[in-house]
Amino acid sequence: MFLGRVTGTVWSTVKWPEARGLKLLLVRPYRLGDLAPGTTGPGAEATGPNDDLVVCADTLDAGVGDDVLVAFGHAARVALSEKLPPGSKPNVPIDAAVVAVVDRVEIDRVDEAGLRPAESVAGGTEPSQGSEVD
Amino acid sequence: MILGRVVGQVWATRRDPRLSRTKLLVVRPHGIYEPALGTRHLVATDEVHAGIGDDVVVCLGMPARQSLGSNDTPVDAAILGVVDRIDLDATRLPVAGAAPGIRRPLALVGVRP
Amino acid sequence: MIRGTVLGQVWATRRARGLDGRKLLLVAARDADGAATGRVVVAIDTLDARTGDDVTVSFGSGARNVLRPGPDNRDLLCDAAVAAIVEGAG
Repeated sequence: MFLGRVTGTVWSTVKWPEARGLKLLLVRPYRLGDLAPGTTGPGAEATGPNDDLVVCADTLDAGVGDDVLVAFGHAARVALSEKLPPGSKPNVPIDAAVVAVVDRVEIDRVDEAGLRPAESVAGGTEPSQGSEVD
Repeated sequence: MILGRVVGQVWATRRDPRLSRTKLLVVRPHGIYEPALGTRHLVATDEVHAGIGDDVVVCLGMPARQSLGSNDTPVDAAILGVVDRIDLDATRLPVAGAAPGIRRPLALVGVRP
Repeated sequence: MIRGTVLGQVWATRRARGLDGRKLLLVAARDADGAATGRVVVAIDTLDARTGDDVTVSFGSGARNVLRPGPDNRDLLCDAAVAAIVEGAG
């Protein structure tokens, strides 16, 4: 699954009967640079606002501004099936679906070189510091 | 799924029988999605009667295959629907060339500022 | 499968039924040289991986096999799962 932010809605007439009423959301995946601002290595640039927009089927009533988890491929169809009568096998071509609305993400401090949590301060273990994605 | 614009159609009488008579449209993806082999276009099946110039939502991979009714169809891209309108967070409207990765900004139909 | 480093955990109360009870870990993808690719993925964890662990992540049917191997696992809501916790690599 990927973590992303809902940035918009796509209105489209979808002609598969099992998809009636289906909402399509525009989701922007988070990259490492968005989540771990301290990392400045070559792989860590944050995305621009309109790179990488993915259209996802919405099964959980997510709204613009929500952080969500999106499942791909067959898993998207499994998520869609939860909304249909048991046993029905949807043919609608959906390859991405929202499967969770995120409350929070706990990320330990990561250092630039190794993506490892930073060393504890001398004096024993200290509780990990989470940084929260709002 | 990805957003794209229909830029053409592929005509083929000789085709794998599992493709039956489905229409094949050429779609230019919006954003940074890159079709295989540097082609910048993909060919998708169309059951929703999209036309050239339409913005569409395209499904990729195995779920696209099953949209023609069976798991055996030789399809990896299928149009889910024609876009009527896109509402984007007003602070994130695309501007041509403004950010790396925007190759062809999608002309948004009826976007609310 | 890809290699990555566990960055942390994702908490979500509102979730699809198929994700009930699953532990969700945020993993930063790394290439063969160990460099971060800049992309992150969320994978289901059944191996009790911890933040900072080096892991391999499976996708698709391979991921479903981590949760429940066999031909009848297509009802599982899973597209990515931690397949192994890496101790060392050459």
